[in-house]
Amino acid sequence: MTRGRLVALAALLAAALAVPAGASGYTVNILTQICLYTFLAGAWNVMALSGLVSLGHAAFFGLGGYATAWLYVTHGVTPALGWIAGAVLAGAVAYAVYWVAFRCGLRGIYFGGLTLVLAESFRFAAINSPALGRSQGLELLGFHMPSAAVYALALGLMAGGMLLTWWLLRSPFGYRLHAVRENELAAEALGVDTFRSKLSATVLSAALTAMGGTAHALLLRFVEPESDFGLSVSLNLLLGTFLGGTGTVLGPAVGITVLFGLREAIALVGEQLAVGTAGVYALQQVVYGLILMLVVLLLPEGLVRVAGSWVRRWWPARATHAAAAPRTVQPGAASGPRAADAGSETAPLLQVAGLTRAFEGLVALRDVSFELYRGEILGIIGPNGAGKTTLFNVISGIHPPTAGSVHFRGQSLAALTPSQVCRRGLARTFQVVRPFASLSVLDNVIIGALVRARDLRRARERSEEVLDFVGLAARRDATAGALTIQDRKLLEFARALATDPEVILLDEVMAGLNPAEQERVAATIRRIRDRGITLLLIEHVMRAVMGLSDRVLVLDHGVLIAEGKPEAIVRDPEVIRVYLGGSPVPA
Amino acid sequence: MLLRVRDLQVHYGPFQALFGVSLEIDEGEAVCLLGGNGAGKTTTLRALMGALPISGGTVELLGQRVEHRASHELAAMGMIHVPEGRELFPSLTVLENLELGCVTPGTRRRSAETLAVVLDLFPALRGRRRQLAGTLSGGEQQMVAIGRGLMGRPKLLMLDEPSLGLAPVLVDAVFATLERIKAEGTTIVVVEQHIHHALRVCGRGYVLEGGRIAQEGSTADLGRSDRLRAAYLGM
Amino acid sequence: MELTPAVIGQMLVTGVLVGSIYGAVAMGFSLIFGVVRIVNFAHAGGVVWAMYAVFLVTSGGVLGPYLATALVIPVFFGLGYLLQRALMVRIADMTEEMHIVFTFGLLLVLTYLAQFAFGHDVRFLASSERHLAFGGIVVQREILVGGGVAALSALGLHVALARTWLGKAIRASADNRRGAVLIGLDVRALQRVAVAVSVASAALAGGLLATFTTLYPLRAFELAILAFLIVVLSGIRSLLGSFGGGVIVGVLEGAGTLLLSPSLAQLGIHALIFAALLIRPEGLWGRKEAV
Repeated sequence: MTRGRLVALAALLAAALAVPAGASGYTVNILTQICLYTFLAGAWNVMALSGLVSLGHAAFFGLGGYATAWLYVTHGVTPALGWIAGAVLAGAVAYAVYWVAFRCGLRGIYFGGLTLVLAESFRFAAINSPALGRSQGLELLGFHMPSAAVYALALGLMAGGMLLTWWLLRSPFGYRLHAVRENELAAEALGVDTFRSKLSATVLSAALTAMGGTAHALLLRFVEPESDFGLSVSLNLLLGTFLGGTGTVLGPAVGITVLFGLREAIALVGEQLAVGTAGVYALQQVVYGLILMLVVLLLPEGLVRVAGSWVRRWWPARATHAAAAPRTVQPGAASGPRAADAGSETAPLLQVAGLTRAFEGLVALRDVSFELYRGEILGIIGPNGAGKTTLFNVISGIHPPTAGSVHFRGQSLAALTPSQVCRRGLARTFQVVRPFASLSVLDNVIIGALVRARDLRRARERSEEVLDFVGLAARRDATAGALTIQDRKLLEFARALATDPEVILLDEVMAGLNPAEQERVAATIRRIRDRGITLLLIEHVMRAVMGLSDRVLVLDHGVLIAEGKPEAIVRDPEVIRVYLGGSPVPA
Repeated sequence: MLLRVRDLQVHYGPFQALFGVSLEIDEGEAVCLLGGNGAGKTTTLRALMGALPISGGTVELLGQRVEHRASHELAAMGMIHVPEGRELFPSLTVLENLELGCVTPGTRRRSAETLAVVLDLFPALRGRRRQLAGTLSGGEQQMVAIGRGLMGRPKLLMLDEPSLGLAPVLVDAVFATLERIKAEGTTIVVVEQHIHHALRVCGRGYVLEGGRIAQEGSTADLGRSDRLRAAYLGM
Repeated sequence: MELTPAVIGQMLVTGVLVGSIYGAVAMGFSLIFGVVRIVNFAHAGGVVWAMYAVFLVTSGGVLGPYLATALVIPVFFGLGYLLQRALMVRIADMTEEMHIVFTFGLLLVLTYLAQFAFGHDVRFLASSERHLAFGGIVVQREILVGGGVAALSALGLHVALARTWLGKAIRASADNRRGAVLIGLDVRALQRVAVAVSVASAALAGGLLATFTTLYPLRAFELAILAFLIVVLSGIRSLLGSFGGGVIVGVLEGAGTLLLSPSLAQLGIHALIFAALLIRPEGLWGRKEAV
């Protein structure tokens, strides 16, 4: 953020703070609510950054409000302390619940169900608890805070929340969350500890939501089960964020402002029609519902992104990227591969012994053993369904082996998660490429580079160098989803390289490429080897492997049936039988 | 001419997967589509079957233009697909899977009769009628997939890699079955990577490479072709 | 109240009967999810609108509640068909989150449209005041009929799906949609039928519930949460499982209400579902999806 913008922002804040002086109580009240709900939607948004949709954030909202109110009513504790206590409590609850949820692998609607049931449990707990005033709730009797002060608090929360989101989106943590949201498996394979990332985001989100809940309690001066733990609280947060745009800084503010504007407009219309307060409320909710449906149907990206693309279309000058500035390229610069101290080493870099993997009785790999030595290119071929990808999935920690072991640099990889395997220096690509489709090419690679780089600047430098190396530098600002198949494969290379690995496992990189493209990819593979990186590649297209590999293994029905130099392998009658079926091809 | 495909083009989003594939298949023929992974074989079959949008070219089935018909309409015309990876309904029984092959009311009326024929062809399934399809072995699943296709009384049966993941003995069995089906007059298009088998059953073949037809001809010629051998073995 | 065997028996019988209706609601919910892969929160909105429709029809004084329900069901079948054809099909390819947002929106619209039209007063149909007694267990006639009809129609739906070709085709397209398309099943038409059946089942459940419970617009939220939790509890893939989940929740609700209080019963149910979810993340009768 430039200094000019900071000054402008500070001025804006000061002006906003001055509003209560001249405005009616009604206006201040509305503004307070807008600020508060913007903050809350922003808090919800933090969790949504990782792709998780919570239907029960009311649980944390209510915890904040109830903690503050209970401490004040029973022990006379000042709400300033209650505020912190509520946030800590909500964070702790979120940690405990989601730790178990993520460990159990709760997904999709089951996760949504858990969040919903959490809020509902708290609501019924509050209704049943005499200490919490049952369905009457608690009133903060004797507590008084001038409305201007509550407004200032809400305004501060909103500004702080937006700054936090702004910062998050530009931090390594934000990058990791984005990766998790786009494709959890690919993120994990690129060294992102998806479990911790998700847990951190949810705990942060819960604590922030509780802070908003406290502020809400101070505004109303009471807490009550339905208005604090009820479904409509959760719904409002979801509504505002979706309307504005999830994962954006301004989305919650825009969404909430539009909603409140509509709310007031409907109130005016309702007055004209004389439908009464209940009627107005019902109409408001109907319109909210219609908005939700329309947002999904017409602008699933949210208002902010749609507006952004309009701005870019009509005002292209503003959108040009700063990246046009010339950039000095340092080929093979400081962050190159680790010194390849190959010569002295004779122990295998990767040792696979007796590996067996069965899926519900179906044996995909049977007693597979081989060694990979530093600096070599080892090809593994076999017909479709031979178990090649399963082999990679076991080595890279996606599936645990049924029996057998994998040792990397003498250490067992058993029980490591894919991200831990990646951090050890063993990267992989996927046969079905898994780019983070909505991120730019550069950002895709940065996520890999964050495995080693300490900050974003270093990660970006490293990524640009890698993109140069694979020949994708010109496409660095393109959206990954818009790349051609060949470029997607190169992007997979770049992401794997960015993690600074010692070994890369390449899963059928040639599939779907024409011969010219295969040649280009093969050249890239050789150059990667020349950087001192060891490669294990599985391939269905035999031709591609033969020219590249130092050694070739042949897998059929999960069993290694041949091993040797490429020239020997193509003459092996057993291999020819496996590939061409039945008896040898007529000469 | 049973099926005439001219200049078929298919895009996946911004990517072109097929660049003008042309095929001609006569009644009673057995034709194979060969080529490496990603060459466009499965895409071709799925596009013909109406399961992928066709962005260019024409498809004539029994003299009618059909390139924009939905797959259920094509199936009703007698074009039946045995998909790659079998695509069974794993939580339905074997019998139910077979019955669902009768996609038109006409075939449903004669389903008992067809079922008898199919069970004759695959006697191993007889004892497993009530078993859930998902619990079968790979070979048995492939039999169910082919049997399900036959239940629709196909004029044109299109099989996508029927030998995928099967042990050699079972591959032999599958191709022996295809020969019987062909002998009974059903037209067959088969995508296969066991070239040798494919060439034995089929009279003609097409070799796909990078979404284009690289070569076509009688299987005798293709079998002698260095190009085909090279495409698979890299020599 | 003293816990005599008769009291416990009555609690169990009533719980099973009311739970059968919950089960019918949950079954419709899980049918849509299975076939269209959309979590339809608005399902409960359909139930509540059916309750109001039955209320309106009976208030004319000509038709009784059961005939009114029979009248409402085909209308809802048609509405369900249109819902799939006009709306659901447009969001089918979006993410699950989008589905949730969309159907939540629809639930809001349905709920508050009802509130706008009928007010938030609690209403109820005139009861027959007739009870049936056997062996010391006394059951209100409407509950007996409601639970019985719900259980029978759940069984009927199960049999129809298991035995008829159309039912098998619907199950097949739920089991493996791509496979169904590839072998030439008209999956879109099957989906329209499935959604129509689901909405019709919401009408049936609504009509039966209206005969013995109070009705108010926000009932839709309560039922939505209940149905959602029942299917999450029982594993959303299994229709009979959903029905069973409904029965379990009905019995738990009855037991909790008898032993504790209605709201404590709700707390207990939610705590149990919470625990069940963490222990069996794919639902009680769910199975792990193949890797």
